[in-house]
Amino acid sequence: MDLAALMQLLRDAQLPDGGWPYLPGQPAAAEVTVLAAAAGAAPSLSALTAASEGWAGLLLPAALHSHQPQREAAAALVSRLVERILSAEGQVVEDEDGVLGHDATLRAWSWMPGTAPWVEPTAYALLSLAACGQSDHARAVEGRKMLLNRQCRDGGWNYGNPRVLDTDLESELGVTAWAVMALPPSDAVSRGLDRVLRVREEESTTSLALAVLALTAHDAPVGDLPDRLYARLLRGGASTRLDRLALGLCALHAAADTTHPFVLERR
Amino acid sequence: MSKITRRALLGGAAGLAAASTGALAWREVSQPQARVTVRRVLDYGPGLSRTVQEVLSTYPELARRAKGARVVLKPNLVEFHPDRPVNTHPVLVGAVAEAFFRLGAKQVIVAEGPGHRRDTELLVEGSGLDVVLRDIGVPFVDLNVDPPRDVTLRHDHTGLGRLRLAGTAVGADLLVSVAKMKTHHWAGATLSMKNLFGVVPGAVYGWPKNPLHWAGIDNAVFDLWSTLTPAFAIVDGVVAMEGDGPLKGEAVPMGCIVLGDQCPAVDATCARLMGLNPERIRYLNAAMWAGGTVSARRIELLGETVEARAFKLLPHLEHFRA
Repeated sequence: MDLAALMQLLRDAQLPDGGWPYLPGQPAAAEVTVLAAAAGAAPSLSALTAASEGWAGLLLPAALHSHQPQREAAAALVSRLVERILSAEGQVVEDEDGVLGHDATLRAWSWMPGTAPWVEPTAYALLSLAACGQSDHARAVEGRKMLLNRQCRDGGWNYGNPRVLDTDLESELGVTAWAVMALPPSDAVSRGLDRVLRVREEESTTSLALAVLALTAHDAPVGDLPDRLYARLLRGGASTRLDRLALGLCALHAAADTTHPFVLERR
Repeated sequence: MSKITRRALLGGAAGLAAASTGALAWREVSQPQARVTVRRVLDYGPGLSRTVQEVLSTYPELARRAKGARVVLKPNLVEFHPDRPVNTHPVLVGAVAEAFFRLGAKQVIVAEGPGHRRDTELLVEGSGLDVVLRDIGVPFVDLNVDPPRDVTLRHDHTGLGRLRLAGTAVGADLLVSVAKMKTHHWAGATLSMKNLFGVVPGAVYGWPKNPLHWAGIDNAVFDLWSTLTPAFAIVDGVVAMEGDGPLKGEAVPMGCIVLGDQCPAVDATCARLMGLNPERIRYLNAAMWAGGTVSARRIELLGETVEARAFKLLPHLEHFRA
């Protein structure tokens, strides 16, 4: 695999302001800049600062953890983000008669202030807290409890409603992968990894990348998934959407190295 | 801490039904006359394209506006379930795109921003939409990651004041809602107006687009429709969904498509075909009070007769029945 060539595609797409867009010709997008940082590209500090403003800021400390020079350059920003993550919380609701099939009083993290907590932002926040040595903080403990409470009956996770109005809802591979990355080994995570392995039923650049990231986070075998992902990235070439390219590179690095772009220590 | 209860979910709609009978009589006559076309379509075969073209050509104002225009088609593409009719069928989306090219559109774009699924590559490939669009040279735009524009809400029932909406949809010369006929476990029905949730970008608001839920789903549907005012609405009722929609319901062969240049009139007609009382659907009721046409007597029905049927509903939605 020629990862250097793919990295060059990503670097070539960097904007003059130091960030990355979803697609060429667009302005920088926070999520893409954070994923590019995790893939080992070098966003400017100003681009990282801009990217930290919205929900992508929840993932930014985790995304920088394995890139020492970037992390040192952004140390003050990361420190502020950890404070923000610890003080941010999702809006809880009292579900008097079980309309929702989960514990809606667990605060965890939301996509936007003033709204309910959901699985993916909570996973981002947990990964960042772990990357900054805050895994044992009470907020992280509650966040992990929230994730476990939101697991779907099929073993995976969806956006955050495992059951609504007495009906079980199905999981989604991508969200499952983020939840699995954010949790320590357990029976629940094993069931989540089984769900991730169903990636062949719903194969895409993103699903392959996230499956590899989830499996490598738990040192589980990835089989030919990296090859399939690499083939997709090559097929897309320069027209691949840049968030998918960055995420794909993160996964291929995780499959090839002993480090992981979002998880401090593989379990 | 906010409370969520089944009673709270239902109360507003029941209140609408009971409180406003007298005022509705006055309201009915002030609704502008609307034309809605219902056509029998039993399958997604090659005849669908001709049917769509025939119908669009009977709306002269639409045909005039389509010439040289940048047309954005907004289908309902929400999940990946090969065995359930959750999405607007790709063949219908393709047929609509071709019809607009025939009307002289300069560019046709298909654009959607799914509310739960971030992986649009998977959705577009899994649904078969990619093959249809490739064959006719129409691009797909993921509205979830589309550069947003700040938009002031026209009526602001949500109280949000402004929203950041996908620029491709906001900047379209003609925005066309190409929706699926489905029951909806919160709103009663999801049709051309509810379909507009997809223009709210996840990259800004997340997955799901939770600020809209906190502001009230019906309020958000109303605000999006009244602010964006799509030029045309097409609802795929060839195979519709009843029961636990919009995702977990069962297929129901309604065998029709419903089309028109006023979303509330199209959605009200669909609701009647589904055995629902449109005036009890909160966002349609709000649209009616804001100048939208909902009352049957103000809608001229064109095309063919399709028998209404009583769609299966979850028990807490029974009050929506006609």
